[in-house]
Amino acid sequence: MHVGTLAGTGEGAPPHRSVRPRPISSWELIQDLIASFRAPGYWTYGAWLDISLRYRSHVLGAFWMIAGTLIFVGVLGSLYSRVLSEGADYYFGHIACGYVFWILILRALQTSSRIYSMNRNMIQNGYVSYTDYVLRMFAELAIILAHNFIVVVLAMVFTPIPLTWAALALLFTVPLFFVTILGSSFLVSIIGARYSDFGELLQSVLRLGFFVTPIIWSAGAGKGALIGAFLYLNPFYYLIEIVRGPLIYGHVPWLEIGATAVMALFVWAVASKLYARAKPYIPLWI
Amino acid sequence: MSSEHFIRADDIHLSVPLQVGNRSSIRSVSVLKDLYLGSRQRELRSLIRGMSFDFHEGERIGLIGENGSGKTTLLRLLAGVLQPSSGHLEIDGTTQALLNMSMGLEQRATGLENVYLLGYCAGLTTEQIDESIPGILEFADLHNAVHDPVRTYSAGMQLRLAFAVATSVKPEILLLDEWISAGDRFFIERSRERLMGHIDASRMLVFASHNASVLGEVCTRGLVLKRGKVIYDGPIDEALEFYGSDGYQES
Repeated sequence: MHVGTLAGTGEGAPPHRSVRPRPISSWELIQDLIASFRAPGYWTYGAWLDISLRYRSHVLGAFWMIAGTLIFVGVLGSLYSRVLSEGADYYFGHIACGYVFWILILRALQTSSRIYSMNRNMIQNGYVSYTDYVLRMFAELAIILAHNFIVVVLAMVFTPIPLTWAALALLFTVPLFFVTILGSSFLVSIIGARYSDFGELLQSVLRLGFFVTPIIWSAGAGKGALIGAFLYLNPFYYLIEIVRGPLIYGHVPWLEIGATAVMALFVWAVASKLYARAKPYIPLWI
Repeated sequence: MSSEHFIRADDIHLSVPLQVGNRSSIRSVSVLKDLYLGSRQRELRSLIRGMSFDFHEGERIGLIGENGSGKTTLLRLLAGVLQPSSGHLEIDGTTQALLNMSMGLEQRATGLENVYLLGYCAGLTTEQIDESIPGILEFADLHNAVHDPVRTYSAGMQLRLAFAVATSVKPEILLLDEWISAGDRFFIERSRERLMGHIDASRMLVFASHNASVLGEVCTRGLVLKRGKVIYDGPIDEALEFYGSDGYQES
């Protein structure tokens, strides 16, 4: 059995555990994830609660979830669609889609780097289902994304941007996007638990990432094309492009999809290895 | 699965790496050095130094000892938060722990929302939580405040709420750290009933406390700890007597 559900070994959980230094399996992360999905009560309810608490006292409530995005896309869209004369028809869709998915990447990685220390009290009290903490955060971000997506739809309706058959690729690319970010979140959560410096480093990288990734500018239009091959060194580019390509530009970016799939495999492999190695030490690190 | 639940520890040790503060004077240059380079002194500290014991079903074990003797660390090992560095620890039974003051309560959420959150943590399903709510509110005496945010509760109310959820799960092994006896007199009376209620169902309790009178009333067996070792293991009265005697200071 695994030690993941120890805290509240409630009904159905195997009650017998033998705690001795044991051989570590690389499947620990997957096993814990399966356990989390079998008993989703804590992290689904927790995610809903986090959202509900944040907007509870506001007059406009959950509208604030999309207000920031609406303002950002509205203002920058109006300004930059004039600056970047080429491809201006698609600009609102481009920036809305890029920004909405960037927000998820940004918050997922930033929060993951300190997710276990944020939940120190719960962990020290015996709730050591580490995958639950990451899933709780991830589910909250997915709910926010679902709201923000309204801005993308608005941009597509009013610009207007036609939906093409290429959008069918989203059935595959959106799950791929989520899986890659979830794997990255686990990876970052472990590194962040061990090295508290990592959160600072990540913050700098992400701040830079926003500007070197084609979110407010476009790689194909205007001077954006000058960045050329450097674009392909940027992992965020692939993540954004696999969603934005099919949705906004009506083409399926096979190269980017392939690169993201490789990235996902890599991230999950490393995260599984580190998670299995790190798990017993997490309460000591935080 | 055997019907008899137990905890068995065989020469368990636990050493943890600790980030230790710089020992140099706060006026020296090293303060600046620490700011930029971090104080990277890590020390391996031994918290549990070879403990062996057998706990059986129906026993209520009191952990006695001064601050730093390893009571909380031992409870964390039993709760599965920490794992022994060496030795063998075997636990048969579902565990519930109330180890720190915050108890996982979400301060901004209402009492009822916290019942669900803690209930899910304890491994309950939604139906099970729904069923246990009347009992929890009854015990915690929260009927009027159930829709108020927990941050408006008194410390005693928060304690009752967390305790009520943890015990409504009916764990086979209940782990309580010493802060619980900080509750008011009224709470201690009620919780004792609830603790005893568990014992009737042949459950096990491991309780760390400084409060000799509470320990004496609730527990049947006492383990006296000192510097990460068990120095006395016996009936609670004798263990408390030993703790108060010169024998403890000298050992």
